[in-house]
Amino acid sequence: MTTVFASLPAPDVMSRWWNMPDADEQRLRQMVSHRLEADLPLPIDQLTWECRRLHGAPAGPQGRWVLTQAAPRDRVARDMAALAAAGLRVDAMTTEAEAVGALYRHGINHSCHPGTEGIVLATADEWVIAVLTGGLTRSVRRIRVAADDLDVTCRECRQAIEAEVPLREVHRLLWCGSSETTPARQKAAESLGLTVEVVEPHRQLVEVGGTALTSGQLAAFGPALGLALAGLLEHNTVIRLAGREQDRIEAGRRRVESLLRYPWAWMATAIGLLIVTLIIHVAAIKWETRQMQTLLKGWDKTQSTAARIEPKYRALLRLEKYRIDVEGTIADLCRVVPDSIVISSIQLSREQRLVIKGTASDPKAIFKLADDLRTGERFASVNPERSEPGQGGSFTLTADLADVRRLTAGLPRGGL
Amino acid sequence: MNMSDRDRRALVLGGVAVGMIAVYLVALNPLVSRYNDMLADHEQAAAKVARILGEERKAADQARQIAEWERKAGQLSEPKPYSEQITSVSYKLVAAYQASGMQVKNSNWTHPIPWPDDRTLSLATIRIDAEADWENVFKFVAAVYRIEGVMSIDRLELAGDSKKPGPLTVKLAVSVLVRSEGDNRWAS
Repeated sequence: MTTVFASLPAPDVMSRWWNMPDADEQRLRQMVSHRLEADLPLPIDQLTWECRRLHGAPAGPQGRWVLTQAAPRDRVARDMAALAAAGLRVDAMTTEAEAVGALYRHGINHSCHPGTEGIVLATADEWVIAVLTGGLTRSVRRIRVAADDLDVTCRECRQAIEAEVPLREVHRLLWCGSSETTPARQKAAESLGLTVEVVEPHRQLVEVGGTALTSGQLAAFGPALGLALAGLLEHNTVIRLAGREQDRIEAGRRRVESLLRYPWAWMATAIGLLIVTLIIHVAAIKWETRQMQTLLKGWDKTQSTAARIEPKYRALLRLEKYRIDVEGTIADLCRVVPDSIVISSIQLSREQRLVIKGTASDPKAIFKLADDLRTGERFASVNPERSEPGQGGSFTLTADLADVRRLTAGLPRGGL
Repeated sequence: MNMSDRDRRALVLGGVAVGMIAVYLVALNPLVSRYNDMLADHEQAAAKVARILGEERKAADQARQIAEWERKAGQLSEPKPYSEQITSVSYKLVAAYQASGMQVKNSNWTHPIPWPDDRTLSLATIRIDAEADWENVFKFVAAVYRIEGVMSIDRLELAGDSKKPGPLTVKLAVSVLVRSEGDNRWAS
């Protein structure tokens, strides 16, 4: 799959090198956005911007160094449109500074330095001068070479560096150029008073045939090579001002902006919806009330199930309340009568309780019977009222029936 | 008369305030009142419908209890007028004597007395003197409790002599609920 990386020329990009407190990505973006708003001449909504932290270096007094780059949105859009017209679907539009930074990190043989240093890609006609700190490019300038007056060129070079940092803070100047630029290099070292180190292309940078690149080729095509290296090796971390991903985010942002463009229309719509909702709500309540009132009008209480079964249910409640369970009572009694007892009569009545008369061959059996009757739930207040062990063992035993309700207005009294 | 800006502002603000009060009194307040009335009507109707539904649910449960009772203990019915009830119950009691093999010596209805739970009803009692075997007594008791209109066996006396084997002497009082109105010969 082909990946297309493009870079905006350095003059179109505004770069800022700020020390920011350590914060998560979202918070950092908020802080950068506020600072950009205050620092740049254009309103932030007319800018496309991105930032990148300096990793690997110790945090500064406030936090970490952050490189922020911004470009006018219409300029980026115009360049993207031009590339699209040329048939290029750009994956990422980055900056020339990022391209030179990638060249510094991956394209030349040198020992990396955590401090500030300069790099010059020198050809016979033009010098590309970049100032880097901790490997991140803070600025890129191009200056025309005055072949007959190298002093002027060196002065411009000094100005380009000092526009970003004081010269005394620059640790060294990396020089990349063909042997033809040797006098210029010597002149620059002399004029700037800096240690100038000649750097060679990285051994892995070769031509199609496998021949190693020369310093002259690296100087001539350095930014393009750097851009390719950024695309290959740093596509996730490189600053992206536009591109497929960015387009998607921008499209979303544009949609939100277009939605928020007519607040009065939205408010009117919301009020309209509220009114419609109220109308529906009122109509629903009215309809429901009407339905229920119709139902209530047609409701005939005398024809209801409750009215139809009410007499039977009252009869059921009466029977449950007042009917004496004769069979159950006698069955419970018979269950506990011991063999030594012969019952001569049983009287059971709602008002006069249970009276048992009989004879017992064993006098203790009467009391056992009384005890056994007490243990059940049906009989209460069981009393062996009379026992005559000396006169044939006859006895009388009375008990209350626990589940029998008496009638408040008396039933006919008297014997049967 | 020239008005200052301050006067004009005061007039405008006053006008707006008066207008808002007028809108509230003329339009908003009556609308809110009508809305509240409508909600009250709805709530009232909903409460009535809920009560009816509750009663129906309760009635369904009661119908189930009635069916269960009738399956076990015979038909349930409203008390009938005295003459109709005692005729019907007496007829069915005769059938029960015959089915159970009880030898009835005597049976007579007593004066109905008011039923304490409902003054439109009275309780009539039939007293029965009979002789029967132990088993037959309980066959008869079971048959009595399946007779429509019988309230309860209010008294039962069983007596026998262990020295003289023979049928038991049985005395029973069976109560029957009757409607107080009608051709009750005991009614004053």
